[in-house]
Amino acid sequence: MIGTSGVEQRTSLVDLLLAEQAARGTAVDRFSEWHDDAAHAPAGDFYRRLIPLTKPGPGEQFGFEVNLDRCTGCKACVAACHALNGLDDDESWRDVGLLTGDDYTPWHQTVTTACHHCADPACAAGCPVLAYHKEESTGIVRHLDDQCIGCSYCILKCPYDVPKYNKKRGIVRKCDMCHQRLEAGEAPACVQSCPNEAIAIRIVPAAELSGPAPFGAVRLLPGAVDSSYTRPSTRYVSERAMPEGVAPADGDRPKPEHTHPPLVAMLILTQFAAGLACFGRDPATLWLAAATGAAGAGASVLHLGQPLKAFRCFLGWRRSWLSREILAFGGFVPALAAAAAGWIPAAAAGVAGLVSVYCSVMVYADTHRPFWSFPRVAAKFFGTTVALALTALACVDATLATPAMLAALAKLACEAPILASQNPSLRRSQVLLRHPLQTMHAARFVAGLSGAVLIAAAPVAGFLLFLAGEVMERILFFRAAAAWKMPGGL
Amino acid sequence: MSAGIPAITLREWTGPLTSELVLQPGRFGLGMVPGARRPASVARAVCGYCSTGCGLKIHLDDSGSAVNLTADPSYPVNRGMACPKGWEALTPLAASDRAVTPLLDGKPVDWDCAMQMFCGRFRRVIEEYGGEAAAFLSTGQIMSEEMAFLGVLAKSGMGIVHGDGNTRQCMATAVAAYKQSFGFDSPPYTYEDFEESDVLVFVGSNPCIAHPILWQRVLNNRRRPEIVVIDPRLTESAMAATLHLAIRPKTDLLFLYCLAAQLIRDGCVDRAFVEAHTSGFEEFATFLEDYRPEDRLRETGIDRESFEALAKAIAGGKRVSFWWTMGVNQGHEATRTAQAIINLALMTGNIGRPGTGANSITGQCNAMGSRLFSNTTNLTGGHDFANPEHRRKVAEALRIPGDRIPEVQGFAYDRIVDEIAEGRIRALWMIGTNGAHSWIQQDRFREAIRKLDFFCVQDMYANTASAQLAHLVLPAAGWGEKEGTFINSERRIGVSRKVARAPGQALADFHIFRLIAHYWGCGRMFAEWTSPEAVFEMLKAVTRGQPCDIGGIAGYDMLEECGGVQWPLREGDVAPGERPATHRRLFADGRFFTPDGRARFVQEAPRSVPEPVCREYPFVLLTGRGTSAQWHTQTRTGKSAILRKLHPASLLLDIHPLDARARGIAEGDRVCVISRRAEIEATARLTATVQRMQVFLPMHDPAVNRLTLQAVDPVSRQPAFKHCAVRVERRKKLNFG
Repeated sequence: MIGTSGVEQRTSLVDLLLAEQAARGTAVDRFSEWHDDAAHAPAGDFYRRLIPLTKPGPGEQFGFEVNLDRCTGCKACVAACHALNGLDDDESWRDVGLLTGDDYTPWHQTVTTACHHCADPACAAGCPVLAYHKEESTGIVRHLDDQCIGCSYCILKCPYDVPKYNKKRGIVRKCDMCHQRLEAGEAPACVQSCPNEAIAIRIVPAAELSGPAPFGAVRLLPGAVDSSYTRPSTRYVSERAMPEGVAPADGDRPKPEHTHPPLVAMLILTQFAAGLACFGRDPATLWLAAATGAAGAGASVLHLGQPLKAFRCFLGWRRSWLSREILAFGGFVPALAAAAAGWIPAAAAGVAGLVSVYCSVMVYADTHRPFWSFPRVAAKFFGTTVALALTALACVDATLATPAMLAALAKLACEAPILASQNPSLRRSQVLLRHPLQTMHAARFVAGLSGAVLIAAAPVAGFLLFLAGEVMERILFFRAAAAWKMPGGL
Repeated sequence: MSAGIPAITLREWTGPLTSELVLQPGRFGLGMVPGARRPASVARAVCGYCSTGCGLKIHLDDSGSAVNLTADPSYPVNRGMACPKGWEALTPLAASDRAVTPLLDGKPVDWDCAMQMFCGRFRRVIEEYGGEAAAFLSTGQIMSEEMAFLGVLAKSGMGIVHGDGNTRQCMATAVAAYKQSFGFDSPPYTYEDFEESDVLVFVGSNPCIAHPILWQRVLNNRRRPEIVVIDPRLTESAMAATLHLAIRPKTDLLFLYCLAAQLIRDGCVDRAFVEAHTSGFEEFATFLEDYRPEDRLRETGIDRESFEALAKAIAGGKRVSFWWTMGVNQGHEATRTAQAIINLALMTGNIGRPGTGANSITGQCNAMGSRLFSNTTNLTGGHDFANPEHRRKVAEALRIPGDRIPEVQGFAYDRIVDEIAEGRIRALWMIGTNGAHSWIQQDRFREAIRKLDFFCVQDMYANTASAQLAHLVLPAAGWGEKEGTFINSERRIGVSRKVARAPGQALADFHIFRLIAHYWGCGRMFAEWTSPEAVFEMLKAVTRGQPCDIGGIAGYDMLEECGGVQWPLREGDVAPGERPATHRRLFADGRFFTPDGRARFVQEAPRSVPEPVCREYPFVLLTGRGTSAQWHTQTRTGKSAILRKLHPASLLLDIHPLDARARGIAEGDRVCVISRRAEIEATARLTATVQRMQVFLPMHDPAVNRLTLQAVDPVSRQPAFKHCAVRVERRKKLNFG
């Protein structure tokens, strides 16, 4: 037992042990001060055969090669990418997904995926500020982090779900194939960390990149987008046959996409303004259109992670529909003001408005997302342009009630068949609309229909209801636009 | 979002955001590293998760604190590779919810108060009800030196009679099987055997997920091996195998007997080896007459063709290795099943040579240390409590009074739980484990725990399922915040260094044991137990003359220089200045550790499962590891955002699509899984990788063991996690959460 003098002793042992615990590990002092030995390449010569000895020649580029027979789902590549690149908490530029057999075929295959450093990168084509750069000598698609304005359009454009928005920094970041490591003769993080040597860097001829993929279809893997869109440089190889009916494990479970509230506001307001410019003749209407258009264009700025850098948004005009849309708005809003002031004919502002709406349509149609096919987006955007303006004007001009109602009904009629479509590429969007978005999808039609019906009797209530329906339509436009992606996990 | 005045150029090729991702040469042989985390020095540590025992290089900043890590290319176990848990090993240390002070009934107290409470309460129970009323539950996650300290402190210092470890849940079967068959708990292999085999047979083992770094060795095998996986599910390893036998759950013992019978019939017995080095083969052969494949194979669900392909592969292979993990160990007749595997290796002479062996792949980083040094299932160092000679030797080696060593072994985990439930054990000390999540039939376990007079949990986190039930929580430093040795699956002793400061008042388990010894008043008994390395010297002494003799290991420096050392290494085995061979296997001379030096054939007729399926509960529930990013009850892996991304966010029930449809269950539906014990919810995942009328749940979810059954293997007393009867009902439509 502890004696009376023990209290002091006891406390002192606690203090002693706490001090010992807080001390730097003595072992560290003794063993860690290794000499600066550059001769030890990481993992020795282990991965020498996994990276090319030379740089790509003309017409060639680097590409990932994934041996599926060696990918067994350990996911070390994901964790190593995170650690070796010093990325944020849950940030990694590699993912591991899963392909599975059908009901009668016990079969599965894990799939490691990262940026495919496409020969024709859709991210770069869509970027309004040229924040993507495809290196000529290596074909690596680099992202210029300081150039990025955080508009996220590359996320919509990439059919492989590669660029990821980094909220903390207000920009997008993505895989750079560890170009700094490759320059130093070292393998990328994922290549050097795969215990099974499933990932390698190979030199691939750019001309072949649109050619057939290993499993017969012109897509990287089942469920992936047609490779002719971006011509990805990754190759998936396997000596084993893939059974019929293989599908991504997450194929039946799409997640609702981002809502992008500023874009919802922007699209509705600018389309409303374009419609008012087309149908409105009196200055008050045109001033309202100008204010609405300006508000819409302004809303889009809220969408940016780096708004101060947005002044460069014209840089991408040669290829980027987003750049063109911004330029078109830049012309449209002043044109509305000029028309309202009587300096130019209202019809000129109307034309500028329609051009802007066309650019908006193309921004989404150009992403190749099935839900955003050109006819579907055009029907929605031009439909809103016409129907919203007419229902609004019907509040002050009763003669417009019937055309407004017809336009509103026509728009609803265009949207209605989506769930009945047999187009398999729409299935994921249909799942979203039937399940997680079911309530809003129904509410959208209830609001739209009741708004259309009420227009003659109670035009203001009719307009507001129809507007509410349009807002829901536009939220669903984003949320149900299931993106193309590589096979995901569960 | 970071703001800032944009540069007056059209394209900003560089800038603050770009520089965040600039890499720099890391030196120390590290290659390029993130510039912001460039190390000032590097230390080495053996990973503290699983029994693979990977070497990690810890990158340290100027203050000696870890800032990053990479896998160690020069370590012979992992050769520069790590699984996601290893890559993220530092993250759980920095978690914001670490226990930073002792907590008494949830309120922070200082160590003095905590120690007085701990000793006072345990002493009261022991004085009133005897040492039989107190118990401890240890772990395979702390270092050997700590384990030894705990075992001796609890039993010889404090007089606690009963103690066991969470290793009971994973390795007890292998221990029991090896002890009976080989005379000592001695996994015979080295990882090189994966590379040296012609035929690798994995039974109830999914190394692709559970031990990914070992699969590296399998793929590194240049002999174009036959890889056979025997598992009810089409696991990742089964996909990667050349032959998968989808066995009906828990017919493995019967199957292995059928296989042995077939091999005898085919004349594949290595008579010379059997006669020279084994005993009991004739009885075994006679016993097998009841297991003719043509009569019994049907019960296993395996077709004749696959069965014969396997028999042929074993017969034709010059080097056949058998590997087993939890699919075998966690069964109702697990020890006999493991021994049926051992029998196959013995009868075909596949042991003691490169690429052979009956090889148990262990679970936790120091399960093997626990097996030798925890002073629970055997007296420290693989000794026998009942043997006075052993007690005398151990007392001398550990410098403790011989009369303080108990003469009987305490109860196993399941009996401890029973005794608690019946009110006979009244004080429990749980160290580095989370029984309230991991033990079978969880509701019963928790109910028992609530009856305790005193329950103390010693852990890195005060919010584990178990710590939440505790009266007293002692905040422990974790792996990386202390030093000591681990023993991996291939008997390799590796050293792990202190590379981070523990938060707040957290203390290394070693320090906590010192403190308790002092407060208990038995500090003098442990006067020489001052540091882990000092204890390591005593462990060397305690193993002298044992099969696990490590007297030839000079100390931690030698362990570090050699990339770990496998036991045994007797004094004088290597000349001064020389290193032992990196890969060594046991039984090359055909001498086993039994008194007669012969390995024994052990067999027993298979019994039916404790809870067969029935009309009301028609599905077999299988449980196991979910992904390589999850460790057991996830008290640590759950702290890493990147690891959380690598496993499903909700509990998924794998169910065959046809069984699901028959019950109106679609992909993503919420379902109820109901056993006789409990009812839990999960999300349905339809997959033909499970067989009809079988479902699978990962063990990492806290609810899963509410379903499992209180049943243990009678020999090893390891719980039978791998089989219970459930039914599945649809709860509501699709959950997209």
